[in-house]
Amino acid sequence: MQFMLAIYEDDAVYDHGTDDTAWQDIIEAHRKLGEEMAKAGIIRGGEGLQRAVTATTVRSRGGQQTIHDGAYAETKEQLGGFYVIEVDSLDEAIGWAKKIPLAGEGAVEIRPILGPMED
Amino acid sequence: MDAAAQAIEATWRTHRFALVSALAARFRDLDLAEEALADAVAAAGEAWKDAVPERPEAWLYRTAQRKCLDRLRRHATANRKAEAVSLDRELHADPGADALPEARLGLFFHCAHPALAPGAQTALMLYHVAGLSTARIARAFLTHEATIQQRLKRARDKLKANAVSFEPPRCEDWPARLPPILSAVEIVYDQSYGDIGGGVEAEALGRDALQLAWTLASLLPQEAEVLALNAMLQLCESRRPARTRADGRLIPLSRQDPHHWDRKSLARAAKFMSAAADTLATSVLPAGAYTIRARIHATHGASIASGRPMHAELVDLHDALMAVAPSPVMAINRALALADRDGPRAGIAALEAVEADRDLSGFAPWHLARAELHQRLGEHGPARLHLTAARQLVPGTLERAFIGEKIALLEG
Repeated sequence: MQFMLAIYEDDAVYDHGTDDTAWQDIIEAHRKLGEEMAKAGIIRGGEGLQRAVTATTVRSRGGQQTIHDGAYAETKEQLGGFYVIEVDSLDEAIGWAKKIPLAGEGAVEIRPILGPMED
Repeated sequence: MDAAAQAIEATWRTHRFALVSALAARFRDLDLAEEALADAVAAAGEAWKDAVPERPEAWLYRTAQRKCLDRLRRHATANRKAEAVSLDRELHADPGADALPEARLGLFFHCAHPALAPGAQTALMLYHVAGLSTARIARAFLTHEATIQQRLKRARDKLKANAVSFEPPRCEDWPARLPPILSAVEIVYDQSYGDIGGGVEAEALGRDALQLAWTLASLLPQEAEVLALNAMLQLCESRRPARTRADGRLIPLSRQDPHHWDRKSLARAAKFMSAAADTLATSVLPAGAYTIRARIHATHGASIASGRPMHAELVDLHDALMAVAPSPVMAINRALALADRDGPRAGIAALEAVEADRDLSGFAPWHLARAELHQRLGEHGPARLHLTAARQLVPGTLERAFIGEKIALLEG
């Protein structure tokens, strides 16, 4: 079955831009993990996202839709990227989630993906 | 009760957990396993009227597997139907399919999966492993049956949505996966032991917890921490007859009469202690909190029974425990051990240090410890202050009465 591994980090650690070693190290670590996942034959997708300050939110409330500057939730840690993997159980997904590199503190949320709609 | 009903009851009592585990593992669905087993038991009521089968548990297993398949075939999704067809073929082709496989350890790990909250882990374990009714679990945790049913359903739904395995994890994952099982068993026991006025019901829950721990030890006879948990619980259980006076009021451990401690539990505890010591070298999990806590309980007991103070040993054990499993309760106990060795002032200083670390003003054990030490120094004012604070924080009427009595003694 498929799981999404959603990565939450305080993206202030990348404040120094893409020339900074913190940025280069994390990109390299993700590249290596992607290779390991490909080798295990489990990777189905995934992307890194641009900084949370680039986010725009469309909010629907009481039939009204409004557009907001910024991410959906104003929290210290923001969604920064995700992997989609196909493994047999949560325990395997946890094993892969533990391997996801983080520049500082953060969290990886594991969510089972809805299968194809059945009749 | 007729012969069929008696046989069903006996088989249920002995094999229910093994049957549910095997069915859940085979069909990878705990709900389905429980439902199909209930179907099979209902069918046995009719089928066993003329003669009880030679191996009743095998009969139940075979029948429950067919009931699982019936339910799967009726299941709406195409996937599950296809699965039923292939399992059906397997069941027909495999003549050993009614031999009950050993899958109990996997269900322990499944129910105490770390992806679940502790409350959900204990509820699942009591319901599926110990076989308690939702009504009894609700009474044990002082909540409504509907709440427990909802908690069980939500937990099972989550485990199913995440395809959580029914197989025991690999040994290298045990350090993360075994402790939640042990603490779930301990929570069940605490719930029983903490409810002093709970009577027969609380005592029965205590036995259920001991049985859970015992079953786990029979499945993991090489794990020191599992054996140590058993030793610790048996030591607690041995104090049960000695800890209340005839009028139901509480007697603290230090003032209990060792002659009232239950001998059978003490003997079991001793056996588990030595088995735990023997397996230390070969355990997957290293000696940890339960090994040390069992030693603390045993040392306390030995100290009281022999009349020989063992203050230094107890401080060392508490220091070791703080190193592997620091918690406010352990820190308070360590402060009390320190007070025994170095005097009440040292204990109070240690308690203040604990409080400086985190706010414990809403924590009854902290106030009780403070009160105890001030009382030893003859400082009745501060003692009364902390006892009054504690009385407002404890949940049980007996515990409140016990504290009230202490306050009255101070004033008298």
